[in-house]
Amino acid sequence: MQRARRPRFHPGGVVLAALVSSCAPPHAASPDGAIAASLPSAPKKLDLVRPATTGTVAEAPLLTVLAGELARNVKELGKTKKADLSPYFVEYEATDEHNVEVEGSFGTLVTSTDDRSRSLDVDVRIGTPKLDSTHRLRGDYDVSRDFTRQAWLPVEDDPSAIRAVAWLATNAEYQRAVEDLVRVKANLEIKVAEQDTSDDFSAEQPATFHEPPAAFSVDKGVWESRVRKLSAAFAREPELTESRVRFESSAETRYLATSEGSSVQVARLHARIEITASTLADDGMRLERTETVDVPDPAALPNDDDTSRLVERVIADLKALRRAPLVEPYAGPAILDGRAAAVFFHEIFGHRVEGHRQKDEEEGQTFAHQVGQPVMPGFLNVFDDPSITRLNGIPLNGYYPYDDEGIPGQRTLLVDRGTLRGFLLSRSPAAGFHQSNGHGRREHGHRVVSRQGNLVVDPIVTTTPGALKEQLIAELKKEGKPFGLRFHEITGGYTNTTREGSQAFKVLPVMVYRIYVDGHEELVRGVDLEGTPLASLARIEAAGNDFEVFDGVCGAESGWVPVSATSPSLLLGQIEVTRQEKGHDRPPLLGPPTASALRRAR
Amino acid sequence: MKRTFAVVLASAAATLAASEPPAPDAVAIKAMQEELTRTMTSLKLPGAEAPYYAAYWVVDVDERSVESTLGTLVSDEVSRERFVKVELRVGTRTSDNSNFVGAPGEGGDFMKDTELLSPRTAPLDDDVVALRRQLWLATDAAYKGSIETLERKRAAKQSEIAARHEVPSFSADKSAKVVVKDEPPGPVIDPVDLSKRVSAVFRSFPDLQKSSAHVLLTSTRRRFVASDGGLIVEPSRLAGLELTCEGQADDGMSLERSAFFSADKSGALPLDHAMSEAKRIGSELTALRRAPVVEDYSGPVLFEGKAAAQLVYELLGESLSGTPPPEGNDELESPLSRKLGKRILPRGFSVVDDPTLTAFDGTPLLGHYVVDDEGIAGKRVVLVDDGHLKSFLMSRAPRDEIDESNGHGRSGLVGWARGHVGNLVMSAKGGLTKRELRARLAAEVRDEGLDFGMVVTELQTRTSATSGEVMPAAQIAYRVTPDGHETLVRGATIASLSVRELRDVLAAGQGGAVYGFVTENDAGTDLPASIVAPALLFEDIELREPSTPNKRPPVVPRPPIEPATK
Repeated sequence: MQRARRPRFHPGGVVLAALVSSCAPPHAASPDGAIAASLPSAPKKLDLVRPATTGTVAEAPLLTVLAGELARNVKELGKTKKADLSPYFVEYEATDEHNVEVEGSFGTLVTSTDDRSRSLDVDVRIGTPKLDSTHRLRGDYDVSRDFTRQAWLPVEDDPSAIRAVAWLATNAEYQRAVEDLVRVKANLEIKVAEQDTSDDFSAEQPATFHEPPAAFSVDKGVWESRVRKLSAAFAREPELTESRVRFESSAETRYLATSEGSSVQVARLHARIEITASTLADDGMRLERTETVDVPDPAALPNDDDTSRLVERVIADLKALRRAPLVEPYAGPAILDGRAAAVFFHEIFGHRVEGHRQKDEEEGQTFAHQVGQPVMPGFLNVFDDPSITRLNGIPLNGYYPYDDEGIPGQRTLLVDRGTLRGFLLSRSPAAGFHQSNGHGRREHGHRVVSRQGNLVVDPIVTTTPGALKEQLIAELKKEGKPFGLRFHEITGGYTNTTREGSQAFKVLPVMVYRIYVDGHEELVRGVDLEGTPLASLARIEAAGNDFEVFDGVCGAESGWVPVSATSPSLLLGQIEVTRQEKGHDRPPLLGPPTASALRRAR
Repeated sequence: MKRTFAVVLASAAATLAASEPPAPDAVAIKAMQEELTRTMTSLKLPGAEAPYYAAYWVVDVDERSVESTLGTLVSDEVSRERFVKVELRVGTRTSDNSNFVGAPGEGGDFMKDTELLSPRTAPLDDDVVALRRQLWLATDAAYKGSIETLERKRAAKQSEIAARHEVPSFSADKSAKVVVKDEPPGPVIDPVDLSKRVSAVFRSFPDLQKSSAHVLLTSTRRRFVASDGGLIVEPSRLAGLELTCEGQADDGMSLERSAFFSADKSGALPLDHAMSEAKRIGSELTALRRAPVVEDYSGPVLFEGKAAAQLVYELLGESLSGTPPPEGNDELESPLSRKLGKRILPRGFSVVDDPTLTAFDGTPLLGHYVVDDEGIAGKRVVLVDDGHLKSFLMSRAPRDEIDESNGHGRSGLVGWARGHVGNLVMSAKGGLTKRELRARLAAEVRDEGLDFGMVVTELQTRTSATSGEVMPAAQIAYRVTPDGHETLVRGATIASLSVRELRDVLAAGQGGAVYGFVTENDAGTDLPASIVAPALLFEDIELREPSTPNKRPPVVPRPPIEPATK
């Protein structure tokens, strides 16, 4: 009768699919920025807010009990005195979650749930920081190494029960670490020397930081009536096949203790509205539009009037998309609007500067040996900063004061004037970088790897969006092309970073416009934006001053983590679009059932 | 247990006219009827056939799942879901789109199958138009898929060298008109309090590594409307408690004990019983830790209590399905498929399956239902009489010898129904008392010149079983000397057994023990069922040590467990 916990889905997220690769593409950055400099300069506004959190409340009872059990296990396991059998590092991370989800569709309630859980992840390292049981196994990919032996703690603070769960989870991870160290050593002996001989674990200062646990209360009944009312607008549109208005609220508190003495208690409150509808074009193409609003508190969610406007926008966009012409494969200049540019950077750049990919020889290692080298035009700066909560007043999804290894989330300069300066680092050192910069992240149940937090594309030279369009038209005329493209909204994308297969990325645009030489624009459908990272980055010609934020969740080896990406609109000298995958199903044979149809039937 | 005081109105006389469906069902039925009318009168792709039969289900499942460990709450999940299911048939009764390899759920296009095999959810509000919308989309997808499947089926037939014997695709049965009354509300169960108090029992067993008490309260409402006039409402409830504990012997062998029971006749899950069950399995696991490992053994084995019922399910349960394997895949053929009329058990043995039973000797049966998942009233069917195979568990897919359903077509929320166990009851004429059986075992042991025989009282429970050879593991097994001295042993695995062994059972007990369980079908839907069987004595069975290597026991001693905080 035992049932598996239902997986949580994060639609509307930014997806990384680790697929496949071949040889690294040729180095192709052109650090000039000549076009950017030639356009009229317009001032940019980039206000970053860092919270005034001090983390000085008392440690919660759960964390005290966990720290005690951790110490007992480390002491007992240390009695063997044999280095290959005695852990040098142990971390416990408990994640306490409270999630409320309410969803309506076509005016009726579809889902209403209220769940509470506490999971425990244990990390055990045996060996030395130089070489330990977590070391990669070349040519012996074992997907289970991406996961912890996750355990479920009681949601109540009974010390005996908490200790019993933690003890057994520690045992499971300990036994695995002992076996893994043997595998690691054998693997090193039989393979050629590794290119990157960085250590497996960095030395860091233990942290003490305690925030009050996150909590919220919402009236589920009120939300239920709201999603019914808000989603009722979709019921008036016979062309729509699916619709959804979804409210989510979550309180997450992470309790982290390590054998080095870190004691960290981090709270995250989050709420989201997601509005989605889909329709089928006459040629069988499925069209979907999603609008989301992410806020750091359910009380800050938009009111019904503002939410209704989003519903209306989704409906209007889908109606327009159904009538929009299909685009043929095309190569030429394009503008990426802010949010589209942000997703573009998250996929083609952000995932490739994650530290652990730099030393994994099965990865494409696009940027592994490029530090100090130009990788994009010289007017671009790029940084990732998990320590900011708001950008130009917009809440950022990727804020956290401490990462899942107990390291403060730090502003990390990735690109300075087009030149690569660093990577996103967890406690796994790589490519000459020896310290974490607080980007070790995971969803519970997974092992930590380096991930993005709040990625920001911050050009030094900015112009107005209007000037970008004029420049695009000028280039069209020069090249004798009838139109260029503007990508307004991108739902997400994926990128392959491993060597097996192509190093290409693909982003999935939904609102794409043709810009004609006379300046008028026309909505089109059915294109994906594809390319290779270095060639694409080199073709960024200019940036607007209109920063936009994409808040989402990002999936990779260490699970789903909340992130944001920010960028102004960008002009690209050349992009390539391909035909979107399309279903072959006819639209439904009969019309949708409606109240009026019912009356006729009677 | 499934407490059901259901009134069966399966006869045509007691139709809907006699009892209007209760208000919560009226909207669902209206939506299904209106959409069904539209489907049967208007749904047709140019150049293709229109459906000749359609049936709709709207099923509500309300669930509360509460789990505790050592007296503290781990999870408390409440879910309310509504599903729609569409069964659509294109072609003719003789040959339609069903039971074909490549039809949804039977191989073929994986993505499409996944989509068609995922239960379709529907809005929770009682709203006719919203429900019709889901039915409309589900019907459209099912119709397009059906036409494609039928075309492939016909093409495959044309390429066959010798046409196989034609069995019709769909029986001529008529689906039922039944409105099953709601059960009167039972006593209120506080699942949080119950699971905490019962799980706290395990605090006093220091040898356990892990333990839990899981209370599951489920309420289901199934409503059905079919184009042949069928109309069904069947509510049902399940309240169950599952206890599990795990540990390791000093040599590392993993040990597990579990117990499951469902609400008694009054609808209650009595605390006393739950606590004593927890104590029992906690003590058993503690005893198992210290028990010797079984040595390789070949000789007489007596399956007592739950073990006999578990063995009957493993050997016979799936093989008694009469639904022919999908065309193009004979590998799924039952080992009993050519045995009709032949002896498969000792003379004097009988096997019936009766979904109309709610309890056996006061023990609730999980496999009770009024109508099956094809809208056919569940009927008592004699499967084996005097050792001879007389019939099969039939869905509406006929086979050579049997052309009608006996109300055992089960599928859950997705996929085609297949003949499946409901409440399977085995009995033997002239069954022996427990004492007589033990004496018979002792006699066999002496005859063979052995020092001891083996008694197995519980097998490793399984969530799904395959037909043919099985190798179940004994959870509780004893060495029993001819003078009656018992020694608990651990790790006994039963070497290959097949349905043939049942022919040579030496002796059986009286009455029967009940084994209630939930199997998962291919589509991942739960199908609750029960097996009742008497104790069974086999002449020669091999028991072996398990071949899987042991994990080392934890290096760190278990943390102390303090007395419960509350």
